[in-house]
Amino acid sequence: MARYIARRLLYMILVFFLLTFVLFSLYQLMPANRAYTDADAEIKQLRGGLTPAQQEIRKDELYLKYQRLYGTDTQNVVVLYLRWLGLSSKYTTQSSSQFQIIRDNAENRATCLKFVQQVGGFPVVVKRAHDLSAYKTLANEQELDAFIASDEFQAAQEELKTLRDPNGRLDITFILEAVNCKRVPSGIFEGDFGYSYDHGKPVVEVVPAHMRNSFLIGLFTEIAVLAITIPLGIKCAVKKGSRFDRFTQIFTLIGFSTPSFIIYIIFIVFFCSILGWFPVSGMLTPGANYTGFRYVLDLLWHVALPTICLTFGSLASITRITRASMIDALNLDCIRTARAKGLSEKVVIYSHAWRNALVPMVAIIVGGFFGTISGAMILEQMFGFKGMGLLFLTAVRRADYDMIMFLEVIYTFIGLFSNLVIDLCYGIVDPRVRISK
Amino acid sequence: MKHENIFRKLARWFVRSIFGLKFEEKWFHINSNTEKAREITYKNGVPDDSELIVSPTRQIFNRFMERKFAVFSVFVVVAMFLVVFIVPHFMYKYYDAYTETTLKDLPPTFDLMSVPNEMKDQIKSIDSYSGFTVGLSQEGKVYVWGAASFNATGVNLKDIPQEVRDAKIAFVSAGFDHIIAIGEDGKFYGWGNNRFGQYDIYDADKNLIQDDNIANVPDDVYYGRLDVSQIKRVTSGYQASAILMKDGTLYIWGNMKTYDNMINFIANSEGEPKKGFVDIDFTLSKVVTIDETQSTINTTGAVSKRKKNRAGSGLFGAARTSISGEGTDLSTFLGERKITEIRATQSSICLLLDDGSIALSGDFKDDNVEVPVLEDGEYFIDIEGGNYHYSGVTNLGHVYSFGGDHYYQASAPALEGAAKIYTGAFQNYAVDANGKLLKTWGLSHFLFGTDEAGANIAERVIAGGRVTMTVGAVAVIIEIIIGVSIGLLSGFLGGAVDIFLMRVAEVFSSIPLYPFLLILSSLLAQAPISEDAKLYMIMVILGVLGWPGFAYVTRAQVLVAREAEYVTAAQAMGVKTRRIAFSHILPNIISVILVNMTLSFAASMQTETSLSFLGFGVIYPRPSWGNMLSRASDAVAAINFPWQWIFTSVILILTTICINTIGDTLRDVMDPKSTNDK
Repeated sequence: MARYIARRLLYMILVFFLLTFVLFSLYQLMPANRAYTDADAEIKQLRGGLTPAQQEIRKDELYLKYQRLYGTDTQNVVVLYLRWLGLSSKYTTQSSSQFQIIRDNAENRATCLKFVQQVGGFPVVVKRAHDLSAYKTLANEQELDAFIASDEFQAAQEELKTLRDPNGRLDITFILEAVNCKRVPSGIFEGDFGYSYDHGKPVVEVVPAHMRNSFLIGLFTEIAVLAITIPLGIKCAVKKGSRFDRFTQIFTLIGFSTPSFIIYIIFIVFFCSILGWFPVSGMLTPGANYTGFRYVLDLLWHVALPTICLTFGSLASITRITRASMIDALNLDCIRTARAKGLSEKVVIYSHAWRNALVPMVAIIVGGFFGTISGAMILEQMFGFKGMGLLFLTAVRRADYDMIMFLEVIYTFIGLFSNLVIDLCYGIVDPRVRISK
Repeated sequence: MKHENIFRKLARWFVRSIFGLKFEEKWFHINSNTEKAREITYKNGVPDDSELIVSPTRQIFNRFMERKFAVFSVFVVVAMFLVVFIVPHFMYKYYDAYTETTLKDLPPTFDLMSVPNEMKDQIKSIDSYSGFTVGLSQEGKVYVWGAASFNATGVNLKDIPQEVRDAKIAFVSAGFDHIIAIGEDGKFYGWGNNRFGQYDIYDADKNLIQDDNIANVPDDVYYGRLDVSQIKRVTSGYQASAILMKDGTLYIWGNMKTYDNMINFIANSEGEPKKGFVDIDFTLSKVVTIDETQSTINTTGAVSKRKKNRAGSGLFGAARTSISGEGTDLSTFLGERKITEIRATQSSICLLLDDGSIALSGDFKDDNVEVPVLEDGEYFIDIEGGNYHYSGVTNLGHVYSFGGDHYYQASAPALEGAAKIYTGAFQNYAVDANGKLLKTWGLSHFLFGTDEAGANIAERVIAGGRVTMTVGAVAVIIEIIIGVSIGLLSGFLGGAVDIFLMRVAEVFSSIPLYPFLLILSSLLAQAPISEDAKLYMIMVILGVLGWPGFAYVTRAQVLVAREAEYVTAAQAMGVKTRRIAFSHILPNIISVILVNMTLSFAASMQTETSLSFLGFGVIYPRPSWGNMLSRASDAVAAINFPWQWIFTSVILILTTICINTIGDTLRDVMDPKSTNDK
């Protein structure tokens, strides 16, 4: 058993990396370039004091600086992915005094020497700007002159002039860098999950509150759903063909075929507008700062209708599955034997048939509990309920990059973990699985 | 037994689906197969049971056909497919991005063009600007028909005030959300929305807006001081109205925000109205008049000399005789002729000249009906304008229509004896000399109402059904092709291939569906590919994320079927592996795949609907059942305009129920252990 778990965990980690890599590389296809927009924004603030030529220079420097900050100074997807994870390193500081762009103008020698003085003297490293790979180490001034005058440098600048692209590609060929410039890994494994533009906070500060809300609704819903559907499904299977069963069949068919948002809208129209029992949206009454018991009551009042709606939306499909698996269990030969032995009907149903029916149900039950954490998107959008689903929806709509990636990681992890738990539960529920492992 | 052809079969199945087996047997004088099966015939003294043996497929089919609701569902699904794929070819005027603000948010109405019976023989005048029409009979009674109730503002124009009902009315005119009426004694009535000065003077007690942009009703009009016999024309625009007297005095009032040049026509600061006009009408954003001294179109209100060509100001500079023809400068065009009438649509004007010919100016949309060619000696005696079209009646009693034709309002029938013509916004009413209604043509009904853009919901439901069902069908087909192939391979070959393929399926099935779909469609939305290509990509993505289900099912079935003896026999005979898999095993598995196919089709449709509802799948203007329901997410709109989501929901739910029933019934009839209960 332990070996099985270990194997599954290993497999889970592998799949996790694969899936996140796929999603990450998909997201790199987005044409947004954060470094460019940030540099643009900053240059607009400084516009007042600089001439256009100086602006160009400053913009290039800022662009490079932001690229190093976000770690997007390379085009290689694998490296970007590793940096995001935190397994590969990127520059820690934003300071633009960490590097100096070697331009093809009359003052290049002077500016380079000034930079060298700033960083405390030679040696310095010449790096190619587009992927920050080391090109050459310069040990003293003569080597610097030789480099600037070299054919290599001139040829590179010439080539650049023909390729100049104002839409975000780095138009610098070489930079000077101090030898002991520090690069440190910082990413998910270091605890840096990113910064959400939308909320103005680091991602880890935004998510827990939403997760708590989704879990709150989800827990109530899951308990209510299971409490209703399991007895209902068992009764329908036992009394198969009766009027009660047929009635329930029709209801579950309609409920299963209706898109969830239609059920929600009918409930909203009925309960909020016609009856006026519940409020339509939000989590708390705006403006009123209740405390203590009244706060809890207010919260529950707001949460009631979404819970009821979510329960109704999930009733139909789970009842069907319960009924189907219970019918399959009741058709087993061992049930016929149990009845022939003279056991009471109650024992036959709950102790024999239900145990067999439980096996396929495990996936549903456990999956349902884990699914509550990820939140029901449509429900939360309609009710304005601040849960994980709404968080994800708004993040995708506003292209809040870090938030989307973080939520993706959570969803993938939950999915894989719930698969593992389901497999383990199969083992707990079905002794045959246990033994064969 | 009667000769059994396809029509008889269809008729039998239809009767069986609605009424049941008993009636089918009674009416068609047959015994069903199960009945036959229970009869025991003897052959050579021994029970002859050769007819009890039917192939498994035949047996499944028979048992399926016994279930009323399943057969009914098949009919519904087939009918739905036919409707959504064939009817769009007959919706000639439909296109996805159609908008019409004067027709927005109308409930299902069928009386948009139905003149009340009391008025049909004595029509005095008819006027309309949006979804409702006001009519005046020769007895002086006012009638309102069409979609006259505005849920959002609570205004219902069919509630004609009692005083109007009691009085004898001489003139009526309908604007966008108000109606004004002038009694024969000159008294002024108005009802409807009065928040923008359509018919009421600002009073501190009433809840009205006082604004520089509102021109109030002139006192002469409001206090009933006008001489009704001197009124030449009463007309209304968006939230404004105008009365033109025979001596050229113009009273005009209303919401000036929509008409940027109305300020040139209102009374001056002493309250004296402007004079000297021959005719007036409203376009979408301009008031157009004819000045009697110069007979040039006066769109700015500035009086211009004849010599200086001010007619070239703005939109209505060049005049022409046909919709798509070349325009010439107006004074050159006119020569010595004078303009007698001016009528306007939303974006164009039509001038009736004193020799009976017409001149057009302004913008016309692409799909217009051209100006008709009149017979010799025929000339127009009257022109009226709707929102996008014109209709004219000639001296010979014929009527012609031209201009915008989206609701066939420009397709005039051949008539004789027409003396007057009245136009609504999208309708035409041809009336003879006695006031009797001859014929109507134009927009007569909305089956499911209109949505917030003004488009016909019935047409969008059908076009949207095509999109939704195509997406569902293609996604399922892709799922089947990938999933069944992988399942067959994995189940039949076993070993390392099996383990590897199942791992791949596990990876695909652990991708969280909705987050992945959302991200992919938001990426797609920014991709520089055509809209059609984006739709195909969505279908492919749905298919590619859903195939593991089919792979698992197929693999399980193959693992069972692999142990059968016919497979061993085939292998012993030397049949190739591929042939065994596809020709021997697959036909035995196909029943289970069929069941999953129907259920998966319903699930794909649901996924696409939810995705479009959230705004990520099919994007406006292309309709889909999901994004047509997105308006329902706003609780206020859902209550005020219930028709916008109820019809689509009902059709969607019905289709899904029927598809699910077919799948469920198939699964029930294929299970050899289940007893014969319905």
